[in-house]
Amino acid sequence: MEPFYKLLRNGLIILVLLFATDRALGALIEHFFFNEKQGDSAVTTHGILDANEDILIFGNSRASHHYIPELITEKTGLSCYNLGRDGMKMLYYETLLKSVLSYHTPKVVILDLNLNDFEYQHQEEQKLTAVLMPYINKNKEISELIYTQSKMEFSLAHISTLYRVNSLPMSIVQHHLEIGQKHFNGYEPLSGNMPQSAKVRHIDNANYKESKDQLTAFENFVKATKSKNIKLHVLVSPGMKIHKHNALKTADRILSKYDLKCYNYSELFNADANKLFYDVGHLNEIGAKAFTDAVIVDHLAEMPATEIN
Amino acid sequence: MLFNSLHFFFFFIVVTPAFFLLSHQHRWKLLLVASCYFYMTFVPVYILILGFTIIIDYFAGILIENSKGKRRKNFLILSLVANIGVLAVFKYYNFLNDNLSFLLGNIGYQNRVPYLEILLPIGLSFHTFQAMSYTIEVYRGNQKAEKHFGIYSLYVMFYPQLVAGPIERPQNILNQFHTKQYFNYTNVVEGLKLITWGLFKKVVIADRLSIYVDAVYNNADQHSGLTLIVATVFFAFQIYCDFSGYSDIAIGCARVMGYNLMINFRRPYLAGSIKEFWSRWHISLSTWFRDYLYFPLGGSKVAIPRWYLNLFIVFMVSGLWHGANWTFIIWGALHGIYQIFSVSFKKFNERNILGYRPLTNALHVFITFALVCFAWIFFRANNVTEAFNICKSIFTLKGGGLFIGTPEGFVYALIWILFLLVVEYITEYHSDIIKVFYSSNRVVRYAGYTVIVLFIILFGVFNGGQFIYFQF
Repeated sequence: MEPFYKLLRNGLIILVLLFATDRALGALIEHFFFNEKQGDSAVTTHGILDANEDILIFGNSRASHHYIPELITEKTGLSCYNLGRDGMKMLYYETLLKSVLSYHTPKVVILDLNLNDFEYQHQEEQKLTAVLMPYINKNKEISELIYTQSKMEFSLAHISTLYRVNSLPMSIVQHHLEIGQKHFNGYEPLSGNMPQSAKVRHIDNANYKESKDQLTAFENFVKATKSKNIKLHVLVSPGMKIHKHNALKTADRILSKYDLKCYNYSELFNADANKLFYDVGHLNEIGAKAFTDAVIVDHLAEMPATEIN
Repeated sequence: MLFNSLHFFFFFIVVTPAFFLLSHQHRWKLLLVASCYFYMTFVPVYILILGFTIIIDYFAGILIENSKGKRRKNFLILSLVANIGVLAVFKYYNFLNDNLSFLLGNIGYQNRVPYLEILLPIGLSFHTFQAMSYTIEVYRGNQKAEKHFGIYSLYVMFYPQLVAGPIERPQNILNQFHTKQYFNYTNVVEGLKLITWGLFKKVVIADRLSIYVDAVYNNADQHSGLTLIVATVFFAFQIYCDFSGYSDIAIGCARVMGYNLMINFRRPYLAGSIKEFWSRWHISLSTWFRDYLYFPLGGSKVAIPRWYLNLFIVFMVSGLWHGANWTFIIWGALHGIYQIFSVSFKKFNERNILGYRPLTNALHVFITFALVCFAWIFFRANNVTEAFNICKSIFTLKGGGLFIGTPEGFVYALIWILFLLVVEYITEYHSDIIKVFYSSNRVVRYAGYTVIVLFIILFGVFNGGQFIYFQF
């Protein structure tokens, strides 16, 4: 049995070495991760750990490129942070809001609803788990969400510190060196515009299918703001791609249960599309300024709202 | 159950110690039950197909051995028809039906032959070919018929190589099941090293590259020529790391228990010609076709036109083996044409055209890689029209910038390709460095193991899905 004991002994040495290196290297990477000042993760970290602003904006990349917190603060006197993150959907917004509410109650929440936010997307849960994994030990809401989504991921994240920061080293280096886009209180400006020939496209997406999980997350999001007496504005920001089947009707149906409405600005800038858009889905910085001004006038300056629906 | 899943990890750490705890006479039972369980985690009912071919080939082997003359040949034909019949029904029926509909449609007739609503059994082509090699070898007298039904079943179903090879020969693996395997420290360590390296290639390199490749190839019409070139090169490394990673894990799992499976890859992208490429890529399949199709057709010992035809047939069939789709057939045909050109211009290829041998060799490696990549376009494209459109975009250098996807993902992809190339180059040309690494002190060795495992945890893509070759 000597070879067996040799294997056992050497295997144990390697396991100890692995465990120690995993913890040490993982702690080091986590340190740099939680101290990022730029990038999508820095925005999520702000929301999960230290958001203390009066107005918080939730949504995906369209939110992060369309709402200028500094402009809102200047016009309303209320502090503001844009928590929009590229590629996210309702499940993410709901989890982020619950995380914020566990330690802070903002006065106003703006939810930038994307027209496909309720749409079923393959592997949505895996994507969400990957984004929120580094925070598993930082916030109870996130820990519970990951446990619900995948017990295996939950266990792995507790066994290995490095697993929690899987694939992140490159973006951490990038953000610490401040390479790429910059955020300003979460707002990420885009420079440039669409060609003169660019026109709004109406798309007949006949295969549109809503996800039950996303709908539940939306309703939970609304309920959570209601329970804390937070003023909620659900807006659809301008876009050049208008889908025939979209989230609007369902959103209105759910919001009406809570005496709320969804304000649709999707076609607000049709006339000047080529000047105000960076691409079909996102406003450039000029467009963002014009849209933020409109939002302030319609919703934040306590002026009568223009219901576009 | 995928090799890159926790499910397999638990399976492996239960089956392997149990194997050594059992006496030799009971080990085949454990391995057979484990292999059945392994296969049934995909689509349980398809084990019946395996059972069918196992029964046919088991009896065919015995009958071939006990018969003489024409009867002997008839039993071989029976076995081959059963195996190819299963392949034809489950893999090629709907494809043939599609083409029949197309042909009849063109002359104004409607095809009334119904389609089969079936899923392709995982790894069907692999275990069918392994089963066929058994009856052929028994027929040729190179292998005695296996009398032990359980051992024969294990030959077809041995879990490490059941779903994606290497496609073994009975002379190698069947006899090993009769030999008592002892717990051997070197075998276990070497096996574990192979498993780790295979896992690294799969989750760190292949699955990382697949993110970019899928994003480009699934919207190929929207991308520039440059982007499509990059995506095709990435796919070349993706499929290599995916498949050779699987083979390494398979060989490693078997090695831990003392079984030696054949090598399936030998740094194929360092090949200096297409002929050499096929002696380094999917070796178990290319040698299968060589022994059971190319040689029986006459190989190279026939008139030159017939020799070229033989080469072309073998590669066309190899393409068809991969999948019931014209994309695979064109892929195979391209390799057939490459081979014909390669042998036709052999003397020209051997000339030192750049005057400096290492530079000429490097040029040959580059040209071979470019040709292989061109063929990969057809292998990866979703259909033939799309493949030709991709070729058009590449050759006309269709405008637009380089699609990056996520910048960090793109940089990771480049880093890992470079890392792989360095490792392959060192292994190929400076194996003394590898030896130093193997024989150096324990601290260096353990640091090496730790780094590879940590790389897997830190940089692995763990939702990358199944291995590409499972579909074949």
